[in-house]
Amino acid sequence: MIEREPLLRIEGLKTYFHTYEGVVKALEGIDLEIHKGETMGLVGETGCGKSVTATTVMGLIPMPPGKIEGGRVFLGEPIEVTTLRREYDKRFGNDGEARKKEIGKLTKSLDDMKATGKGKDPGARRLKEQLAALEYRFDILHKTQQELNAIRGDRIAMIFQEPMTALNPGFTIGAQISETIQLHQLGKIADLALKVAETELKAIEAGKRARRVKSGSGSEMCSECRVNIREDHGYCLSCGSPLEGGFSFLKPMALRKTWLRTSRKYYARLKENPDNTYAYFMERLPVVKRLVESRFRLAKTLLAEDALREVKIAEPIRVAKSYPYELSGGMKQRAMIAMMMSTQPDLLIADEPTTALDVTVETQILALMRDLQRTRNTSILLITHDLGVIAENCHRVAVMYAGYIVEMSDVEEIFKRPLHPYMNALLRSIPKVGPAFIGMRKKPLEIIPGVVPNLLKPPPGCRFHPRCERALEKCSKEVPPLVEMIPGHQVACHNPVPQSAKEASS
Amino acid sequence: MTSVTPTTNRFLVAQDLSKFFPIRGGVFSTLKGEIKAVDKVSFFVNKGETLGIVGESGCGKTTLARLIMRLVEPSGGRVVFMGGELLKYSPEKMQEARQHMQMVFQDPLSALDPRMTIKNIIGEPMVVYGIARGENLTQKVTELLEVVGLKKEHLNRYPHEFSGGQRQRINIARALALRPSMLFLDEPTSALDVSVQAQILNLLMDLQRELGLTYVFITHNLGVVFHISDRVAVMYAGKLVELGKTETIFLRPSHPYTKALLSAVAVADPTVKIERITLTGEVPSPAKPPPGCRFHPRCWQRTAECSEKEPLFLEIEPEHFVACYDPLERGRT
Repeated sequence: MIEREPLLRIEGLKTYFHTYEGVVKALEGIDLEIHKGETMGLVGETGCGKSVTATTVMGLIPMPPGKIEGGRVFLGEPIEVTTLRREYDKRFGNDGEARKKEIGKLTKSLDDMKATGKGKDPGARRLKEQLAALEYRFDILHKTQQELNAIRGDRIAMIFQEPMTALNPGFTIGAQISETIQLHQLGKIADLALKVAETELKAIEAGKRARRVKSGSGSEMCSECRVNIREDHGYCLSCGSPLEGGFSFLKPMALRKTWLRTSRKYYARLKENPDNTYAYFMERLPVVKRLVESRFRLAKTLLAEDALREVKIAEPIRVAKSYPYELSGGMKQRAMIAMMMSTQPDLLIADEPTTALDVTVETQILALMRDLQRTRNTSILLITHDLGVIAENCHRVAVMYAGYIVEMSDVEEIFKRPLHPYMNALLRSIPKVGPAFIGMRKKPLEIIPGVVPNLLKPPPGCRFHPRCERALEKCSKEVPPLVEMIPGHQVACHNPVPQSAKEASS
Repeated sequence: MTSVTPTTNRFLVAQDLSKFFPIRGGVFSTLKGEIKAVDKVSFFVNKGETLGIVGESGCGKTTLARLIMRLVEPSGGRVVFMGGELLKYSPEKMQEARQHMQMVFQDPLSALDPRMTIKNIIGEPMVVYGIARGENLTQKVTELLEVVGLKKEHLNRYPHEFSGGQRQRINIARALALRPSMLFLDEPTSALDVSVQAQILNLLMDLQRELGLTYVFITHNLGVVFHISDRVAVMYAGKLVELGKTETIFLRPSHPYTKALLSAVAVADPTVKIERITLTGEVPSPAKPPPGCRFHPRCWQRTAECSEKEPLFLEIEPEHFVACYDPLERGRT
């Protein structure tokens, strides 16, 4: 079901914020892998670095005050390259000169191979892989803004917590969704525009004329194709037949044909290459621009409606025309998801997608995300503080505390056998619902004393030790590394919760 | 653990309590309609118990609490509190009555004046009511701080210097300053982290035991309600749809909305698989509630009757009220 091929690999990520009061050490070396098609849960309390991790991956950390002090984030790096990269790292260490020399050598031999026509040989492929590993080509942290713009929204998309603030209040939902598509998949829009123009042209050439007729149910149909009518500039959208009556600037059919032929050419060129000269000139001729772009705008709207239909919004045509304030919280979040999924990203980062929503709407949204994941094999990084949401939606979970990942495992394992005292205490401090917990009602809940540490002055050693009931002397001195205690279950603790005791108590 | 409370010590009774906010528009600000925020809600609270009010956002939970405290003037109905008709009180008498009922608000930071020290914030109610001043006041505030688990050295600090949990403790201390017998807790833990939420819930339960307080606990977190409440009232679109003992509501819910709401709770245990009732559609606009039962457009058990006449809020078994035709006619499911 789940391929174990990593899609996103975060290695030793460190993000600090330099403020007037001092350095906020928000992330202290995060290692995380997200595989294709899986949902990774990132759970933790306020200020533990969940959102900073997400924004760093997206390249959205404001710099300054933020600064990425170290680490790399690899997106879609093939396993072979990863292995090579690790070998090179071991070989060169911090020796930049030697690395440069090696790059030069390999580039030269690759060029030689290409010159002799062996560019497709396995040897050349190997060289390319070696170069990619040496140059950290899959690292998205060190890309330029332009390169990042191409990745963001296309390969990685993000859903934010508060849908009202994430959507622009000044544009319609449809405009905002199609903007994403236009930025990343212009060809898709041009293709649809081309199809629309061709249907229309064919209908005109065949001499079709349509009227509006009332159907049995009282809605208006097109007399030609007998489909519920949806018209645009005086023609039926489904069959392309010009409609009688109504006003259209391009009434004479001969004129209309010429215009459609020109548009068709424009869309075809645009589909091939967005930067071609023909499209460039057409876009700079004022009246012509408006005319040839007409079907393009229509295609954008249609694609936005499709995206909304996919997230099961009841009236996509109406919603595409509405502004964010006209929609309820759940609808806005659906529209957000539609926008993010419209480009079919590999990775969807959902930062507390349901925290602002009601429980009944929350279930709807989460079910929708699960459905979309199943049909499209998208990986999801689900950030939340709600352990219930994690338990029901994730395959794997990483628990964060004050800038560190303290525990990481499969979801069932971590809820059954939490190894880190923090996760253990957190699980027991939530009030639970159900017949089994009747006896627990009104009893004091187990608490974690104290509060989340201030990251300006984090406690030394393990950052959880001042609140930990199992703290040893060592805990205040040494940061525990994240180690695999049980296969597939990693924990960063000097004194993890013993297994037998935990099972006996539960 | 909960015993049947004798009906004689009903502490607070609300009857047909309503609030309709007018919608005005047009050139002459004519009345265009009404937002029925709370529509004929009746319930009672016994002394020393916790009544949980649950419901989705916009269903009128908070307005209900504000109506009882008369922070918002009700449009109709009556409230009997400690034997007095609350809605007929003069402003002076109402102020006196408010000594006995205090409120803790949702967002702990915005409920505290950023320019006042903790001592002034907690002491203000006592100054207003002329209970204490000077040295005596400081001493009383210190006592209150200790009751809620803060220290004397916090006296002269400002709200921004505290964490979310501590701020909520300050809010609780201020609410306790007048030694009220009843607290309205409006989502007191929803702005807090999970580990801090447990601390505040424990504090509230301790206070209730020690001071014999009565709580009306408003929240949308069903886990918290299950843990802390004796009885639960479920609200939907300005109406109470079900009211009963916590065990009854959670284990044998009668109203379809309650069932859907309870099935939506995400359980922090991946091995538990709940059968979800996924509601379609959205909460109706309170300005244009659907005719009949307000839940009927989303209800999967609706009959023709549901869209015509509003079901009455009836006691189907002792202490269990439901506003639905279904459990009455077809027996309980």
